[in-house]
Amino acid sequence: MSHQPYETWIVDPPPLNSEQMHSLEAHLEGCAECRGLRERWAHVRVALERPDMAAPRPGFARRWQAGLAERRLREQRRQAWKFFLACSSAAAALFVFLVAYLAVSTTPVEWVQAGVKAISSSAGYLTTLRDVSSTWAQVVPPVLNLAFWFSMAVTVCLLVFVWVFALWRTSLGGTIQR
Amino acid sequence: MSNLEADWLPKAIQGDQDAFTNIVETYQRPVFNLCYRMLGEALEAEDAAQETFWRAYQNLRRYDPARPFATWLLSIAAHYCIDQQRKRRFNTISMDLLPDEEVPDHAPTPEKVFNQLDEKGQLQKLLARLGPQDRAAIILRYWYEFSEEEIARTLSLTVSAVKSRLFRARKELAQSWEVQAAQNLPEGRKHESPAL
Repeated sequence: MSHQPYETWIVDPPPLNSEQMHSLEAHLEGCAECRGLRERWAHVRVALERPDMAAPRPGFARRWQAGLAERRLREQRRQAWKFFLACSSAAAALFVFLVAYLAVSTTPVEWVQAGVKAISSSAGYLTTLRDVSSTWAQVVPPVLNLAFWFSMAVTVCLLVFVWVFALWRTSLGGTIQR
Repeated sequence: MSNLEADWLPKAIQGDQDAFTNIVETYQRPVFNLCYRMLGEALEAEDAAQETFWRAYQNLRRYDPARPFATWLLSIAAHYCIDQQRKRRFNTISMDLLPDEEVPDHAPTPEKVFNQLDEKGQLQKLLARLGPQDRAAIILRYWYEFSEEEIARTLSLTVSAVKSRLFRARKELAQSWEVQAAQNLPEGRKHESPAL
């Protein structure tokens, strides 16, 4: 026996006209299954139409605020890690690309030649730098010399400070509380 | 437009944390209730409600003011709870966690049934028998009095899908009530037809 549309009329009754009402009643007289459904649904419907709202434990908003600071910290750490991984991946990809490019475009002999050349030219640069420094120290007055080295030291300290601050901001301690 | 949407929401979108805390205070109960009805456990519901507000906080700039804020917020909660249910890989909550049933006195009237269902967590047991999306549809329909269109928007379904889910869920609830009623009957009456 087909129970449609009677099942629908029982659990979600649309406005039924008299003909439909008669049809439903006639079906119910002969169908114990639909009669049972109607009876059971009547009980469930009463419960559903008077539902109570469950409430959280007191202090939900306070717990939210406490959790917010923690979540932000976690989010910031995740962002820092993402940034670090992205930079590392990009550097690794670039390195692999360069190695592959060099392996294809040059020979190992050329690599050795380039290495030796780089080492010898570095030695030459260092010698030149030493000569320039000693000449500078002899020509320039000591006060000016001291001022130059002092400003160099301050600049290096500032750069180190900026670097450490940037690391701190993007890692554990850098969470800014609004 | 309520005070919330006129005053606090724009401030919260601008990053005012106190304004968002006011929103949390206003909506904590409906959001928690949805999570509790979906998950069946107060602790899990608390976590889910907190997660819902965090997600809302993160995505506040994407909120469309043309849509009611409550619908948007409950939509986040419903989707999160449905995902949690799917992660559990089963649709019913552990029956051991719910209070034991007591044998009812005589043939239950709807009033008595309501009291028993509500007070003893039976309604929760009935809901636990439904699939996550069917359960969400029933909760939004009866606890929040959402229309079928609103449920469809909230759960990202079509209206016809909502209608068929509601029908299926109601039928399932009626059948589940039969099972529970049979469990509540004295031993000798358990196998009688409820229609008799």
